[in-house]
Amino acid sequence: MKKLLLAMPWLLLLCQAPSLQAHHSIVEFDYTKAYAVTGRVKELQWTNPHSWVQVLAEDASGETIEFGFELGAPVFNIRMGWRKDNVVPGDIVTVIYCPAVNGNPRGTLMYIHLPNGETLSGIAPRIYSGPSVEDPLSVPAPPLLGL
Amino acid sequence: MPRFSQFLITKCLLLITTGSFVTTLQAADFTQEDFNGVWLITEEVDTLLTSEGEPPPLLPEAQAAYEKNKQDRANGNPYFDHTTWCASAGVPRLLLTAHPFEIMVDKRQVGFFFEWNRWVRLVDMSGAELELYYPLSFGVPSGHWEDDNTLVVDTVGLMHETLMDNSGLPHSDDLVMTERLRLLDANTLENHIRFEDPQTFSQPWETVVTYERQVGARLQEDVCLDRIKQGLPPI
Amino acid sequence: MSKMKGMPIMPLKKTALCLALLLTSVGSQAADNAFGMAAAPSIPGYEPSTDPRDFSGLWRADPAPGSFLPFVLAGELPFTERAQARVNYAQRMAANGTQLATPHIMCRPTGVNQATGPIAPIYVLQNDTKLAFIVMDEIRNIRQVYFASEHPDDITPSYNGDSIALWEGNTLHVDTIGYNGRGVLNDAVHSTDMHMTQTMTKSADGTKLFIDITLEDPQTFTEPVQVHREWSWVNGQQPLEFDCEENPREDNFSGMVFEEEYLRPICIQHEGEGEQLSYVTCEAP
Repeated sequence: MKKLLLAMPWLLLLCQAPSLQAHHSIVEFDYTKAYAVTGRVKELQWTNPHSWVQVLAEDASGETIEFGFELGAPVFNIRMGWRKDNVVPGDIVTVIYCPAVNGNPRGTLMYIHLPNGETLSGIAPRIYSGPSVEDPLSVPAPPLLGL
Repeated sequence: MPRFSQFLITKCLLLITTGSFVTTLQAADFTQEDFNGVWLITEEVDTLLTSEGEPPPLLPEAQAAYEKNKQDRANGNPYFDHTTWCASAGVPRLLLTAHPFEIMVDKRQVGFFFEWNRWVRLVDMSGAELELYYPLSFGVPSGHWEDDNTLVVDTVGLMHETLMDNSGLPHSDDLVMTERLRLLDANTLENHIRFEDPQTFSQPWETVVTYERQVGARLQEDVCLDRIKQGLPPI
Repeated sequence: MSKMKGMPIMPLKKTALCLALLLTSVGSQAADNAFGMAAAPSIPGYEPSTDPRDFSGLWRADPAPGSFLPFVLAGELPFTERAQARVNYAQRMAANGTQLATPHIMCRPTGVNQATGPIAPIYVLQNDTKLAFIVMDEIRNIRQVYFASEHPDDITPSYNGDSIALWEGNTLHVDTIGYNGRGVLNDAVHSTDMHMTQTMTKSADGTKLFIDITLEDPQTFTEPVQVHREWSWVNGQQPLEFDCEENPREDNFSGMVFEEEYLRPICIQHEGEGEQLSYVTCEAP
């Protein structure tokens, strides 16, 4: 604890500097909240500087909304057990994510539950500080879906 | 046989053997370190042809994709080519364009430094079996020296999103590229490139290009995004 | 919570977030990086050399003192008024949840940062003419350091500058000038006057590079800044790629402020409507 307190000034210095974060700021997402979206994979963008999973989900009125869930770059994803063919367009998946602060249908991926029963994670769980998401059924849907 | 004819024959034989001996001596004189340096293709290849000057043997579906790319290019629709937004050009394309590259022979790898957008290909020379995690624009290259003047580079795992040349020649993730690089003389490097891609071509085929040493040259720092922002072409 | 000179007080939830980041890194000493990801499998041929003048191989920059990131210039830096104003501006933006565009975020080479401590492993190739420092797995960079006693007369300003080096015994002295004035250090944009000198030595067992760096830029710092870094030997890893320009997604840039116009992108990837896949359009510059 003493070590942490001594590190506090450096920590504050570090956290004041958005250019120190990779490619866009961590201020973009709310890591204290988690939502769950179940939908059909439209596209996997296995790209740099970030990979994305695009998922189509239906809201309460039956309208389709496209969500974008951010992952790391492929070089990071493979170190977390991902492979490019884990997520396939057409798959029905459930994504647990930390939402964008501005309320848009996007977020940073915490977990993705795949049709074959496998679960893959992003980096967000290591930063997330909200309620437990261990049971995906307990995670609320985003207000955007009106469910 | 008349003595003069004998003389001529002997002289010719001497010239032939001496000439070939000199050529052999030049090739044998080269060391791996002679590959070091900055190189520029002798004549830019915009449209890949085989060593015989023929179009590559495309399968029908690939041919259709190629025609579409060529049509888009002719119509000024650049989005078939990801270099439009400065995504990687990859290989073989960067071995065919009028952008210099540098070879640096190191004890563990042979580095190819491409001036275009600061791309680097590190050819692993350890002989280890490398992992194909996912397709890359420069693939997974491994190499060996067949002799001091022949560098063989085998590349697999080339992502299909890149084009093989400026004209839009497509390929699949299954493309296998084998290069044999050798010095023809102190300032000329030849690259025999063999392509095999059963998803795209009906049979393997080869092409050959040469590069000229750019004596005293250094690579410049090239930033594609800055260039296109100034209205210059991406590649 | 302490307030450092020139910095606004940070909201509590961001403090909590950064604490989590720090704890994550501290708790992941055995892992390959600060996010607890699996280490890359090693490839053969990478045994450290005890030749004190052989820097070739694969290295990883250790974190900066007091940080988990190697390129942070830790401590209170002696910024000039001009530089401090930019730092304050950037941090005000961040506190308000707005991202200010930087070269790193916009896929440009990161110059001094890459030289002091890139996030990704650094491949070093070496021959009698020069050293090449290559980063593949993060912002792709190649920095060539030529063995020479003088810089060329005709330097074209660049993000990486022009680097020369000379041996003094087993110590390598590296001198870099010719920056293009776009580099960002701890939120300050340094000038073309930036002059970086590095003194590099190797441990006897070949597993550590010790690098002492001096940054001089009278337009940015009121006095020279001394930085110490250590790079640790890494068993060889297969190089991958980081094609930063590959996916210029529209939502990456929404809300971003481009203080420097050169950073504003002209090519954007849009998500397609309905079943239409994503596509890129470019506008005239």
